[in-house]
Amino acid sequence: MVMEGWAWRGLSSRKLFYYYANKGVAMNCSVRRAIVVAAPFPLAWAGVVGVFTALGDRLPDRLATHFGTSGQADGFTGPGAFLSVVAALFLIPGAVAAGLAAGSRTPLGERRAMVAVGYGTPAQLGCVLALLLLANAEAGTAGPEGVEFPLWRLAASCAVAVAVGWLGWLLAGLDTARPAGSADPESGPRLPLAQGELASWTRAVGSPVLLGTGGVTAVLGGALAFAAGPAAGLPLAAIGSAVALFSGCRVTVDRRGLTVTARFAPRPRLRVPLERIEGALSREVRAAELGGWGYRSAAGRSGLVLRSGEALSLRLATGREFVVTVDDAATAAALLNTLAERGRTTARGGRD
Amino acid sequence: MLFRVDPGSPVPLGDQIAASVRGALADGSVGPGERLPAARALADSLGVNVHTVLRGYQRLRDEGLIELRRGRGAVVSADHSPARARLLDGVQGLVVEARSLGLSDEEVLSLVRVRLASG
Repeated sequence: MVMEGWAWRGLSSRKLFYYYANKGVAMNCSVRRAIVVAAPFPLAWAGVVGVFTALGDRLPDRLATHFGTSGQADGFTGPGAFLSVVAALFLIPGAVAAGLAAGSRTPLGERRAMVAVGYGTPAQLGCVLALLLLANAEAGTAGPEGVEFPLWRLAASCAVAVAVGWLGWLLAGLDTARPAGSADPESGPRLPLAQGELASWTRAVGSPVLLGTGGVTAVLGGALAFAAGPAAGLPLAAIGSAVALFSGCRVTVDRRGLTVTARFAPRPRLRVPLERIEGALSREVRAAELGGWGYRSAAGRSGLVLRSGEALSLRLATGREFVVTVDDAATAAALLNTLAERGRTTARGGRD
Repeated sequence: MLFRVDPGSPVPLGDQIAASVRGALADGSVGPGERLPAARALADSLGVNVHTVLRGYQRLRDEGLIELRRGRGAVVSADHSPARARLLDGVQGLVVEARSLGLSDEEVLSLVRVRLASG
């Protein structure tokens, strides 16, 4: 693979990453991210401009730029306007992408899909525009009205987009710095238990935001049902009630692992079995970090965010992180580490 | 809150569950009006019989620390105070210690009476 020798993975990747992170060269890191995320936009722009320059005199004075379903040209643009539109199409989104990447503290490895789309889109656009210029040049004496752009060219550009998007996916995967605060599994907090001692930790957690949103939605739905008939209002009322119902949860840590149930009903419930948990710790989570309140899933992490603040963070055997916001998470994490360790010891003992 | 139960200990499991709640009330990690987990859920979680949990909850109700209501489960009494929970914790400790010394109930009571009479 081309990427194997690339700077990020070079040396012993993660150690180097930690070294720089600890040295406070975060600036360097965000500049690198911005370059990786934004690179395809100026590259695609340069490609289109390159094709334009190379074709030079062969291009007609009016470029065919829009085509009917039959592949026949039906819209035309002058070369100057064409070049300005192309510059705007690539450089503005490129600048936005660079700005977002520089400002974000999330490793690209947790935003792989987004980076892949950011690679595929300019690749496809650049490909279509380059093919368009070629088609214009090929028409030659037939003039812009004779330019044809069959659908297979669009299909070809999609294939290029997928390939380049995949490249973006791979590149993003190289940036895998873990969020600050995650320690290695052996050093997590412990809660000493006597041999055979049973333990269970449980705590209720409520979300004022979800309760408020759900309640207001339910009331609005009810009002709408009166004003405009049940068909209009009842679905909204039902959704609002459901959101309000699940705004409260009970988090339990015991011999089975982590269980989260709705406060007022045993089902539905969410369970992470003990065998799938590598380690646990307590950390601060901001709702914005996972994209809002409720059950959130982003690349590399998922969880239940009912409010910002203290949260129980699990590192799963799959390498993903699972968080659930709850008070007194330190006790829960310590118990979970102890139980997981006990589970691993018994499993080993059983096999011997 | 954290429930801890050691089947190897001479103290009955129900009393150990009650002691866990008392401890949580005493250190303030559980407050008035807070709901304890349903007996069935806690029994499943710990891997003990549901009657064991109910015995523990009934003990707490007898001490006035929680209220048991059909359909509402176990709720910490509104007039509960951490100091009272600590006192009851002390009483529990006294009983356990006295039993381990082989004292009869009557002997324990007379010890307490003497202490109360001496002011």
